[in-house]
Amino acid sequence: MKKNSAFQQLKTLMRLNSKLYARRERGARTDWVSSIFGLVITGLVLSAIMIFFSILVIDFEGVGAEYELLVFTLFVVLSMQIIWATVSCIKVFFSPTENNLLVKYPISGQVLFFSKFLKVFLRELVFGLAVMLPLLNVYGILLGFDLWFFILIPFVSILLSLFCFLVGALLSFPLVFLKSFLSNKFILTLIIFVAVSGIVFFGYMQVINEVFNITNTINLNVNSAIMDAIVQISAFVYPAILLSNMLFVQSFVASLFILLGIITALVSAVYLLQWRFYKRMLEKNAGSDQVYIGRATANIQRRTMWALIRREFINMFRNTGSLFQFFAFIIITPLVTYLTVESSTDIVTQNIGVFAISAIAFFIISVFCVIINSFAASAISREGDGFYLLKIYPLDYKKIVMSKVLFTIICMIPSIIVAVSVLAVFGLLSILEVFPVIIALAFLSVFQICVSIDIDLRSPKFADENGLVPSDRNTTLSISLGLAVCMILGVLSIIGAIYLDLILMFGIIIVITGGLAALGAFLLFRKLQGKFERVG
Amino acid sequence: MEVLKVENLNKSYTGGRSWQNKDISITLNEGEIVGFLGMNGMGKTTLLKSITGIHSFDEGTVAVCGYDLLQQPLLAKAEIGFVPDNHSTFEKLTGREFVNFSADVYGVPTDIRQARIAEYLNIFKLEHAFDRQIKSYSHGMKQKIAIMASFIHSPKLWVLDEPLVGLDVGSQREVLTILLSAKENGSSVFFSSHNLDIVERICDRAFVIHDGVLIKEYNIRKFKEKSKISLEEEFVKITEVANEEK
Repeated sequence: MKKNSAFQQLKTLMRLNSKLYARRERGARTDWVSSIFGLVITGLVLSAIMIFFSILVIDFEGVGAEYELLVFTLFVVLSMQIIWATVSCIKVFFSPTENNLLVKYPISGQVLFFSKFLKVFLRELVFGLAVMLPLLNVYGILLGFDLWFFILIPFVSILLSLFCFLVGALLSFPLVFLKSFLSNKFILTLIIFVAVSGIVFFGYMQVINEVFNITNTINLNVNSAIMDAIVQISAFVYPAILLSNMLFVQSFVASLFILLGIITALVSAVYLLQWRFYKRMLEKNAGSDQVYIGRATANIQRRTMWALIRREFINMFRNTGSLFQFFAFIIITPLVTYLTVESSTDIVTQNIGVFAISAIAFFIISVFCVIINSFAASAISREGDGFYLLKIYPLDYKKIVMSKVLFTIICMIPSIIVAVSVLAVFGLLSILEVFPVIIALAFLSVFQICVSIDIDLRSPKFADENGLVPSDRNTTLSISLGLAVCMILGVLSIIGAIYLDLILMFGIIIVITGGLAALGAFLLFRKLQGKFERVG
Repeated sequence: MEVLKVENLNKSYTGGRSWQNKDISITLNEGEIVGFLGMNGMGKTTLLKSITGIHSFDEGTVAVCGYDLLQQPLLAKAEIGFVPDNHSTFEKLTGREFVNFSADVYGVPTDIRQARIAEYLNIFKLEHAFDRQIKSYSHGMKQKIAIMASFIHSPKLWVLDEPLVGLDVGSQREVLTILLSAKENGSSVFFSSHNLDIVERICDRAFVIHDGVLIKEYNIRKFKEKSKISLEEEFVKITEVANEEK
């Protein structure tokens, strides 16, 4: 009787999970279609990368690096999937809104946990298969592996997904405490985000540089020190090496048993954690934000525009998502643009000429600006119920929109100035090039910020009570448009650098970007009243 | 002086197929407290949103202290303070930041706002939470901070949509104290409520809306003198009649 009732509860919760997902938005079908489309695109992109590396392996005939490449590929996929699983587990296991309701029902912690456990695992499995099947099949076909390799791909993919999910579930318990601890410490969170992003990007650039070095090494052969190092390192990349062994049918049984042993240990650890802590954590509201207590400042009068910009800043600064995607990116932009420009200098100098470095620098910084400026595409959506409040105040709609434009510009411009100045200090740009690059980037930012806010004003998706904007369609649109403009301007500036005088080239770029900025402002402020009144 | 004058207001969400407010005309004089009664979904919130400029209306005029809401929206809105039913606030701000933001937008000078904040904090007993982020507030605290922010500029017209819902007895008394002191200071208060005892106790007049149409207006003092039944019993009776006529 008891077993049956627990099973019934589990079924009900699983049904609820599927309905919550399906009804999250009006266009539920569109959600599914876009998710599947996203997975297919991810699979295709990864396959394309795999084709590139496979050709590399084929090119170095006799090197015999197929096994090592597979180990490293599986390691990358494992790392990505563990991050994804951890984020999903934190969201699903510890969602305060849902749990506050569910915890009131006579449902045991085990049943509640298991329903969520299945939900995340099924998603993880779909993601894993969508990535692994095309990736490994492409690799196997290109390198002509035997039938066993292809037969074992689904089995290995399922094991990989299970492993990643269990690690994610395990990590979610301590991380949810960390998240809660940091939830009211915004400056500390920003410092951590900046440090971690800086280190990750620095490491990434080192890897990219090494890859270029390897591909440029003409005398690469079986005995090369690099290949020896790769082989040695790959022997320690667990558990990717176990999965590779299985696919290559090398020490198959031993690898399978070790992997199953690890998975059993992980299952036991997850079971113990949930049995000991889960329900208690939900009852104590684990994962919900700590109370933020501000300073008792004086109640003094400020100008309306300054008050609006200040409110914009506070709203953004007290949101973990924008702390990372907006403020942390703004701070690390000078570092990442310096590393990227510095890394590409040799290639640019060899293939185009030293005169094209400023054009490349302009292009690279503009790409980073596009990513940061795209945050303006949620300027209206992230207001949530607050937008309704803004309409009550005796505020001119132009002033409200202008405050959003100004806020993003005020944050962006210093980052652009520092990024360009760093390049000048390290000799990658001349003093003559500094001002035109800053002006062109500032104009380009104004264009994208205005267009992004206009997009959001036309179809906002208001943030929920947790400050999360339910759809990132507007941001995607903003990034796509920004990148397209960057590509065109980048190509134009490189062509200009080759065929025209540098001053003339930047003159043309400034005229074009200035025109774009004016166009952006025109699009945003045209019929603004109508657009503003329709919202909400 | 007429603080609010609504004439022949019509509002539809369906392009005229069904009316939320039909031919509504209301006038509020200086120093009056007026209750706005009606069952759920009868058009109370729609009218309050129309007269505070949150959404547009199809026909009619709204004037606040002589300023036409459509022609001079900023001047009209500067005379209004509105507390919506969902106690909307900027949740990421602290109470102090929210109230000061409102005061900045309404252009309240430093010395006046400091005095008003001190007065409100004293009445609402919110000192301990004033520097806490609003998202950690309880329902009642949010309602109180919304009232502080909405009326920090001492508007001529106070509009409140069900301000007493979810408040404990003590908090209800605090809100009523604020409304009565607004009246004493010459402001007018227009609020919707389902609590007819309170409407009977503090209001000068009351309107009843049913199916988007104003069906009755009461002078509360005269009603209390003449009627042998309570306002609640009277309200039930007239809405039943209106339903039967429908």
